[in-house]
Parts: sequence; C-alpha cells; structure tokens
Amino acid sequence: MAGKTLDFVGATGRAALRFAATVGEWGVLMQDTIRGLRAVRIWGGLVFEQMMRIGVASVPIALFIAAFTGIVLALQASYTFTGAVPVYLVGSLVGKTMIIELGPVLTGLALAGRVGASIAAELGTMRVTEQIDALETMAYDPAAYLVLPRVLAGAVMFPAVTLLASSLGIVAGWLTAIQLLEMSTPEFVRGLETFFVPFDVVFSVIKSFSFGLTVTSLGCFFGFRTRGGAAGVGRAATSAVVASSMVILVFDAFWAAVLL
Amino acid sequence: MRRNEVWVGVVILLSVVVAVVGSFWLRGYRLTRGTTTVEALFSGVGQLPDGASVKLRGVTIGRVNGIAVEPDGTAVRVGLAINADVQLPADAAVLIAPESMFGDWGAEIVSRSANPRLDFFEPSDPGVLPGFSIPDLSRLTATADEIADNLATITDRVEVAFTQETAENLRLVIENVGRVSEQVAELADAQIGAVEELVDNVRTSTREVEAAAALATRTLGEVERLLSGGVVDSIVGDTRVTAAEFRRLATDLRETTTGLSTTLQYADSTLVRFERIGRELETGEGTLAHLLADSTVAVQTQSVLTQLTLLLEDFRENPGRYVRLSIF
Amino acid sequence: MIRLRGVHKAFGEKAVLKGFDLAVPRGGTVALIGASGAGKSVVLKHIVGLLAADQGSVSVDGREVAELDQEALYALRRRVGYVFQFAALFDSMTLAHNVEMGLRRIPGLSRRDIRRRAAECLELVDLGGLGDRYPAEISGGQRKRAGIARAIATRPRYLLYDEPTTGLDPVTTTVIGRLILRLREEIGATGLVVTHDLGTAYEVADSMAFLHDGRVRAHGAPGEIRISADPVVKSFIEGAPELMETIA
Repeated sequence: MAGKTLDFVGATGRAALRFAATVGEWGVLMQDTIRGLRAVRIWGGLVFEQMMRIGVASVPIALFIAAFTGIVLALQASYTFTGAVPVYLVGSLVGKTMIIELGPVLTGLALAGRVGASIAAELGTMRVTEQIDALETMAYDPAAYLVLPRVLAGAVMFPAVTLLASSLGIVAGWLTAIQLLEMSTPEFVRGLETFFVPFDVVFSVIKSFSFGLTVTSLGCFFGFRTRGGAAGVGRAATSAVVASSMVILVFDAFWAAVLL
Repeated sequence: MRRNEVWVGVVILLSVVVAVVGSFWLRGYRLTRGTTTVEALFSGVGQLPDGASVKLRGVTIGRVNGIAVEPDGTAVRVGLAINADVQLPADAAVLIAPESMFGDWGAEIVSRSANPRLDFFEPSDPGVLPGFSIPDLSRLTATADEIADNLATITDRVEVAFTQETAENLRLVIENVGRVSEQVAELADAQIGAVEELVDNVRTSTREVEAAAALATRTLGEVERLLSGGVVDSIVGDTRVTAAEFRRLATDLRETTTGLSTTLQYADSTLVRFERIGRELETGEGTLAHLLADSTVAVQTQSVLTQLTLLLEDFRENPGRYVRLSIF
Repeated sequence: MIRLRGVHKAFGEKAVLKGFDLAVPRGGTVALIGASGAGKSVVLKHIVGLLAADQGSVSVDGREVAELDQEALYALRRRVGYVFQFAALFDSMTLAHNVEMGLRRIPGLSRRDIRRRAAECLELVDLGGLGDRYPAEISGGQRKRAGIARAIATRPRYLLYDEPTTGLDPVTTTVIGRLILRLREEIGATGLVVTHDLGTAYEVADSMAFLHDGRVRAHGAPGEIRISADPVVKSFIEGAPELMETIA
C-alpha cells in the first residue's frame, strides 16, 4: 500500500518535472526565434508564403464556423429571452459574444487543428528526414528560417482572420434575427450599439494575437522535437493540437481576468 | 509569390477596415453628418458610460464623448458630440438618467425652464451647459432616509407640543405610508412578472406616496404652528405602527426581489431610526428647548419633503429611470 | 584538418562514443566503417556542431567546434559540405532551389551567379537537365546525387558523406563511388565517408577507420584493414557473425 502510494507520488513528481522541462525547451526555442529576428535575410522572404498558408487559407473554415455560430447565438438568445427581457438584447448578445469570446476562441481552436497540426507535421517530417539538420549544415538558423516566419504569420493573420470571422458571425446573427425572429434591423442594431465599446475589438485582437503565437509556436515546437519516423510525426501533430487547444483556453481565461 | 502578397494584403486590409469602420459605426458615427461638441458640467454622472447616446425630445442626436472629473474635483465635465445641424434649446441643460431597465444610461438635452425644480449644476462658464443626474431608486430611498432622520429629530423635540389633532394627522400620514409600503411590496412582486404591470403599480403607488408626503408637509406646518402652543400626548403608539409597517416593507421587499439589495439596506436603516424615535419618545428624552434652539431642522425637513415630491413626480412620469436590472 | 580526440557522447543511458579518436588530414579521404547503429553518423554531426560532445575535443582547422560562436560556426559549416544519408533534400523545393540554398548564404553572390553555380553543380553530378524537378519526382540514386550537388555547391574544403550508397543498387553504388573520387579531383575537398558498404570504402578511401563499441578499433590503409587479424574487424569485413562469438 505504502509502496503504491509512493509510486503515485513519484509518478506525479516525474510528470511535473517532465512538464517543466518541456516548457523550458519551448522557452529555449522561443529565445532562439527571437534571436533569429536579426537574420532578416533568412526569414524576410518567407513570411508572406506562411501568411498565405496560415491565414488566407484558413479564412473559409473560420468564416464557416463563425457564420453558424452567429446563427445559433441569435436563435438561442431569442429562445432564452422571454417575457420581460426586450428583444433587442439579441443584438447585444450576438455582438458582444462574437467579438470578445466566440470569434477569437472558435477561430483559435479551428486554426489550432488546421494550422497547428500542419506545422507540426511538416516540421516533424523535416526533422525525421534530417532536413532541419541539412538546413543547419548550410548555415541556416532553423529558428529563423522555419519558426520565425510561421510565428510572425500567425501573430498577424490570426487577428485578421478573427476579425473577419467575428464580423461575419454578427452579420449571420443579424440575418437570422430579421429573417427568422421577426426582429427589425434597427432593433438589432440598437442592441449591438448599446453594449458595444471599442475596447472589445482591441480585446479580441489581443486574444487572437496570443492564440496565433500559441498555435504556431507550439506547432513548430512539437514539430522540432519529433522523434521516430511517421508515428513520431503523427504524435507531434496530435500533441501540437492538444497543447494549443489547452493553452488557448487558458489564455482565454487569463485575458478575461487581466483585461476585463 | 506575387499572388500570395495580394491575398495576404486583401485579408489584412479587409479585417482592419471591418474592425475600424465597424467600431466607429457601432459607436454611432455616421459618415454623412458632421458633429459638433458641447460640454456640460455635473455634480455626478451616475453610471453614464463614454459613448452613451444623447437625445433631444427622445431622438438620438449624438454620443457622449469624454467624461472627466474637473481638476479641482468639484464637478464632472462631459463632452457631447451631437449632430451639427440640430438646434438646441436656448436654455439647454443636460439630464442624465437610465434609459431602460438594463443599465444603459443616456443623456438628454432639455430646456431648463421646463424643469425648474431640478437642481442643475451651475457652471461658471456660460458656454458650458448645466447638468443634472437623476437619482436612481437607491438615492430615492436615501432621501427618504434623510427625511426619516429629520422627522426623528423633530418628534424627539416636540413630544410635549402636540395637540390631539396633530397626532391624528400624523397617524394618518403614517397609515398612508404603511399603505404605500404594501403597494411597493406588491409592486416588487409584479416586477418579477411583467414590466407593464410594474409600471402601472408604480404609478399608483407613487401617487399614494405623493399624497402622504403632501400630508406630511401639512402636518409639519402644524407642528411649527404648535411649537409656541400647548402640550400634547405622546405619539409613541403611532410611531410604533410606522416602525412595524416599515419592517414589513423591508421583509416583503427582501422576499420578493433579489435585485434591490441596496434599497433594502436603506429601508432597514430607516426602520432602525423609526424604532429609535419610538424608544426615545417612550423614555421621555428630548425637550422643546432642543427644537427651539435649532429651528432649522424643521425647515430642512420641509425642503427634503419638497425634493421627495419632485422625485415622486418624476418617478411617476419615468418609472423606467428608477428601476434597474443589470444582466451584463 | 579534422581532429576528434577522446570524444564521449551518450544519449540518455546509451553511450554511443566512448573515447573516440580520429584525424582526417587535408586532402585525404577517410572511410569510417562500422556496423549499423555504431554511431558513425554521430561522429559526422559532431564535426559540424549539430551535436556537442559530452567530453573530449572536436576541432576543424585547429579550432575547437564547441567554442565557436554562432557566426564562426556558420562560417565553419560553409566550409564543410554534408551529404545526408537519405539526401535530406527540401521536398518543398526544386533540385535547383535545393542546391541554391547554401549559395544564398554566401555574401556577395549575385542572383545570376547563384543560379549558374547551382546549374554547374547539378551538371557535375550528372543531373544537368533536372533542376526543375522536385525531390519526389526523381529516383533514389538521383536524390543522392542531388544531395551531393547541394553539399558541394559552396565549394567546401571538407565533404562529409553519411552512407552515400546505402539502399542503392550495385550499379548506382559504383556510380556514386566514382562520383566521390571525381569530386575529390575536381574540387580538391578533404573527405570523410561514413559507410558500412565496404566496396565503396575500398574504392574511395586512402585510409580506413573501423568504429566498434564507441572507439576506433582499427585504423589503416584499406589493404591493411582488409587483412586485419582482429577477430572483430575480420567478422565485419567477412560478414561472419560467428567470429564475433569467439571473442565474447
């Protein structure tokens, strides 16, 4: 009995240490990446391509998710608001929720799957086929050549995609309100306006910026530390998505606590 | 590569445009109209947020643009960005009040002469509009509290100066207050049901409160007249009735509402004061000399009652301003 | 010259190099042979600083690799061409682009120079017309040669070959072996060939080192190694595991 308890305690300690070590390794990669900023000649030409792959190519899925979220929000808000609650609050709820919460978080999670997995798999494959070693032997800093363009692209494109997604979500909510809920456009707009503050948009940008950094840096991180062939690449992609999703939700709570 | 750049640029620019234009639009800036800014000074602005709507005769004509406490701390300066093509009244003043029951406060530009009894803040600069922030329900009860306090002082001091008639009048007042309190309790019940009913009840109730207040005013006149006169019986019993009624008001409110905790606190403290009056009357503390030495108390009480009457009038006209729910 | 002295390297619990010594003189070609998994590639990675020794010294041209700052390390890597076991071509790029990668890191080379030199390098490994192909579109032998072209593009002083002939058919193996010899003549690079393919080793090397149990077990001219009396070396060269058992 005592032995088993001790095993459990030991396992917990080991897991905690391994987690701390992983975070530390991530920190080292980020440090290398920041140092890589100086080597503009290496990464300068690559950022646009990554912006295309990470951002532009993710626009359809983000818009798709946001549109349906907006519709559902409007329908559920009107279902919840019965009796004494005025109907224009549907607009408030759709706008507020899309901008400060669901826009950034759902886009972040969708892109964690789409972008995080693809980065981890791509860099993981490059790792196991020694392409990353090859880069180093050709005097390329892999952090500057591979990580930096992706992280920069994520930091810029996540907010952009999120803003578009949130906007479309609100439009979808509005269309739902006037088509299915017998609300008028002025009513919906009044609700939107009533509780809107410009800081909401800033908040949304800050959040999605941090999600962009999270997804791309974790994708690169798990890709870089891939070991062991095709199975390892699969594990890296899975780890990147799981870790990104968790960190996104933690950041979500963190920003709400710090900034609201 | 060239095509990449175009697409990336399209997405980034589009998102920035959507965010910026959308933000401005939602803040009520429309490109088609120019705005001009006027300023107003207030002693306080309640829960008015930056960006709240500014109305004239019920029509939105602009937005609150900048709220700042004056450097000397004595007033609050509020900027109002309003459509340049709107002509304001010559004696324009600004009222701040809750627009609905959902905590969204707004500003309204009114003619000062149409609201002679409101206590507007007086700016020294003629270019700045005078402003007044309508108190909400909690401030109404605070005023009632103040009235009760003054009443306590007076009754404390006139215990020997009452005629039977005065006592009878006072009893009437108190009964009326009791009735009002019951109706306020019903009103609170109704609020949970439907807003429409609430408004009706509030109207009825406030009329009652108003009548009671008027009666109290008359009674106080009586009291003043009697100050030089004979000796009267104790009003201990009546005061006890009042105390009991307020106790019930407080209990009912507590039972029927959850969102009015501030109101309850005030009701409770009012109750405590009434009870104190009763105790003091019973033990025979306080003398006529106290009152004679400080006749301003009665005058203060009168002015407070006047304020209460004003508030009740406004309450009846705009019940929505005084009842507030906050869901966000 | 490249010199490794008393190098120890362990991955976790597993010690791979246990006091490894090797010197590759300028102009020579050394073949490092040994069983699969003996740590031959690990040796190469120490030379270009991809791995750091736990203990011991690795120096190139008299400078300690571990002590180089990033700039100096990059300068070293530009002097060393590295041919990876599976070519490690960047599969998102054409062959020409792959070869150009190293050249782009050399200051002062114009775009046209880069393109011309990349074409020359591909020509040198007989892949002249295939510059526009992607790695997935060519054969294994062609990929190996493309990897060599990429390694020689910067005109390195040293060429490190990691299993250059593994997985190739006998004809292609011979082609690669000859290519290595030809390159030594044409660009005069010092070579270190890691391989378990003895045929290639005999063909290209002027001296051979046999890696066993983390150390150099035998060192000498190909002729000497071939007739070594050491049962471990003999067992490897003759492909006879039963000889190993006699010494256990």
